[in-house]
Amino acid sequence: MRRPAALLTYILIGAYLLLIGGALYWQVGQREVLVNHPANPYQLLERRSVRRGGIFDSSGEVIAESVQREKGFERVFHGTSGLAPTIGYFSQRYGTAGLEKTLDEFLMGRRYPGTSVIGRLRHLLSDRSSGYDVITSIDLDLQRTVEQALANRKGAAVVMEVKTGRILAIASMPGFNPEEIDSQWDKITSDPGSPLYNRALAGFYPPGSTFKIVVLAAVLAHGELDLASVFDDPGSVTIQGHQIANAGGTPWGRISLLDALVVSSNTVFTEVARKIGSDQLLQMAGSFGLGRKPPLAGENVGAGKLPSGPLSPLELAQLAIGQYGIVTTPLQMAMVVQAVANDGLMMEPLLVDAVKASGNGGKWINQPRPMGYVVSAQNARKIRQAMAEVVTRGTGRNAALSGIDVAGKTGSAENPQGRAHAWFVGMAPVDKPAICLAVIVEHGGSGGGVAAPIARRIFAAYFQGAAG
Amino acid sequence: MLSRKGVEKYLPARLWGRRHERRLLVLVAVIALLGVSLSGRSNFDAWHQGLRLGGSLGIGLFCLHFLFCFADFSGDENLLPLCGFLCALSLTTLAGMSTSLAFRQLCWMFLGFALIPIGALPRQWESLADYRYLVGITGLGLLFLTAFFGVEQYGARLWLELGPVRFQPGEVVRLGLGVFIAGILSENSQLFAHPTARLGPFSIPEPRHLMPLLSIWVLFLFVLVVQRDLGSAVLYYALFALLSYAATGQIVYLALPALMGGLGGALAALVFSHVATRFEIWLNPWASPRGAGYQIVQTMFALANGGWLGKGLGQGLARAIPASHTDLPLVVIGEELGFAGLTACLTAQFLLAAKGLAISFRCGHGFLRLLGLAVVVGWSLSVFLVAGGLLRLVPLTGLVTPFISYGGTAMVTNLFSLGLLLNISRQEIWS
Repeated sequence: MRRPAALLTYILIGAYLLLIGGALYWQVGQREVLVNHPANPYQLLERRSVRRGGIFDSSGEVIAESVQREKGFERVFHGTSGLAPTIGYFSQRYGTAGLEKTLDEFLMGRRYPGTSVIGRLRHLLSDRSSGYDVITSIDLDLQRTVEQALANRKGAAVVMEVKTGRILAIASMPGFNPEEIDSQWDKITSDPGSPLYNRALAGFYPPGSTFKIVVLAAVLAHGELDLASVFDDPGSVTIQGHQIANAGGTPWGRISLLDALVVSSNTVFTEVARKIGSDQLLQMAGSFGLGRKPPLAGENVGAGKLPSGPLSPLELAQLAIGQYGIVTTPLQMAMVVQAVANDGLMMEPLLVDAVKASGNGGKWINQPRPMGYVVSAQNARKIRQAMAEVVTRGTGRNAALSGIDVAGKTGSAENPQGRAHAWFVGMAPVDKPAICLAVIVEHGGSGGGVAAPIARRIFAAYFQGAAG
Repeated sequence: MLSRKGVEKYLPARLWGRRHERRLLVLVAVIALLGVSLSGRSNFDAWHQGLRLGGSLGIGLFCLHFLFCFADFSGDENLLPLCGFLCALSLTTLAGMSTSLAFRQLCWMFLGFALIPIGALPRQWESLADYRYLVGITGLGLLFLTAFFGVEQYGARLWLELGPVRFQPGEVVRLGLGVFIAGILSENSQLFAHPTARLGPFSIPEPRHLMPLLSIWVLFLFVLVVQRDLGSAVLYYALFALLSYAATGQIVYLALPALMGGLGGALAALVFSHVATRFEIWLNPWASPRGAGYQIVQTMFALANGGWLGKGLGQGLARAIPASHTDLPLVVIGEELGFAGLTACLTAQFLLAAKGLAISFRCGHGFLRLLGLAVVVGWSLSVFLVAGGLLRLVPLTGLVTPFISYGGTAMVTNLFSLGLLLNISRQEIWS
């Protein structure tokens, strides 16, 4: 009997090892190939079987939510089209984008938002049939006003709360309807207006004259010059054979630095930039966060560009008026004015207020985080006063509001593609700013003529709402 | 005399024994409680439903254990916990699909548990050899009945309906065939071991001894071919070959059927289109991933999604594949518990079979030894054919995975077989 016993045992061991080898092959060896196989329905089924968390505005109004339908959950969008590039979409066929992508793990309930060990354990043991809700800092009413003010023009606007850096409204126009992603994909992706492209977070534009705020901050930090320093403005200067002129070529004659900002004199600002030098200017631009990706979660946040020194006199002169080698996003310019408005303290931009478990579950609040002082409080106040005069008697008059003192700076950024981009960056009220904003209309022409009235409508709507 | 430790000193003297079994059963009960509770948490009406289901299994196992203690049963202490672990896995996968399925399966388990002592405790089972023809013909009759009067489900005629009761006699028939073959082989073991007649270069036993065995076996295969139950046909065929070899120690009983089986399989693939289809699906399931290859393609996806450690209990989606509770419980385990869980399950089956082999070969009684082997080899072949089919080592068949698949007849028969194996493991009949 010894022989059969041994042979049968060997056969048994051989069969066992064969099975383990087979399991290893399919579950580990071929895993990558099979999990990503286009016919693999599991990803899709898994996505359909979970009630994905909703995305809400700061007052609790629904922006996007999952609704139970016959075929499983379906994503319904209640937000505005200009908000869609930021919120993004959730499609079974085309994947995810925007906040839907950045926060996917929370929305699907796969990741526990907190740090407590017991909470984590409970999360692990829950059936995970519903995801976490996300409460954004967006104020949908304000958002609607912003988009109405932009009125179908290509462009973007970012409105921020000064003290906290919370983004109250963020519009990228033209937008799209996330519910139509599956049915209208080809139309949306081939649209010449590129609606999927988030202009507010990743649109690269030369800042034009709005960059004079940064130049002014560098000049004040330098210490030799002041707002009262007087310059001679001939209307145009020629540097290295290249002419740099004021808008319309107007010579302002003897003019103070303050008035140079108010009338947006290009010649005076090239002159002061030459005086402080490119190192100082680039350093100040860098500390305002230009040329760096803002600390906002998400892969579609742009860093812009900042030239690296040393610059030739012509390059420096063009940088001083925001035209050479520098590109910024509307979010970055909003952060620049936020720092000026907040007495020099720059805050991290914040788009998510809290992540919340459904029902009576926990709530995890995203606290505002300061990034550090960019300019001194004293200089920030000086810049603010100068910007206030831009609105009361300068290029930004169209942003002026009765009852509320608005401060701002216009820009008409020349670009090779066509008419100048119309910029307006600003804040209100001047004494103790509550909100700040950056508005850009692509190829809109004059910042004072096109962008400033948009800013005015936004301020009006915000303070009317705040008062009422 | 055993020393008394811990809690055990408060137990009656008879309960001091079988300590190894008791410890393993505690582990099994914990696994059952945790597994069922976690797996079914989205199906349960109340959180304690999982504890009730898993706990009942544990209580059932402990009842058996204490019964063995009081009966001074000297059988093996590893078999019951191993089988309990597999039952726990079975309940775990079922609880993730539907509570009512899990509950029904638990009822079947309890019926099986009730049969275990009947198989394990009496000393008279060796006389079963006297009824070998009766058992064999009954099995054959059952097979005939199903093949010609059975109810069709999922394209195969595997069910018998008797009034309100509906059952699948496949497993009963397997046990019956095992009893029959073991009976014949043990009766004539000397004749088979020292063959006198010749067939070409091989020595074979006299035809008059071989005839009853061969004729019934051929009838079995015929019925299975009519029934189109390819998996069972292969299983019975291999069972017969392995048992003959084990009974005689002559390699010819293994080599000849292997050769004939290969030829027969090739012939069947040429003659019967459904056999050919099976082979085509096996070799290239991607030809029709939504049609004939659906089950195997979905299986591969599910296993791959499981990865090393799995998606987590109750998080898998393989339960959505049709007939997953009967055909694909191993895939559900592979997806939800990953490679680790599947390996644990296969290892438990391996240990059960290895222990069973050791027990059978240790048994001094010829018939019981072969009966034990029939049980163990039957289980191992089922597991290999099912798991091998899912892992694409062999063509996929619709066989039952012992102790894991949903199914009343199979569960009861296999638990009763476990009782018989426990009986065979009694120290009194060691050789």
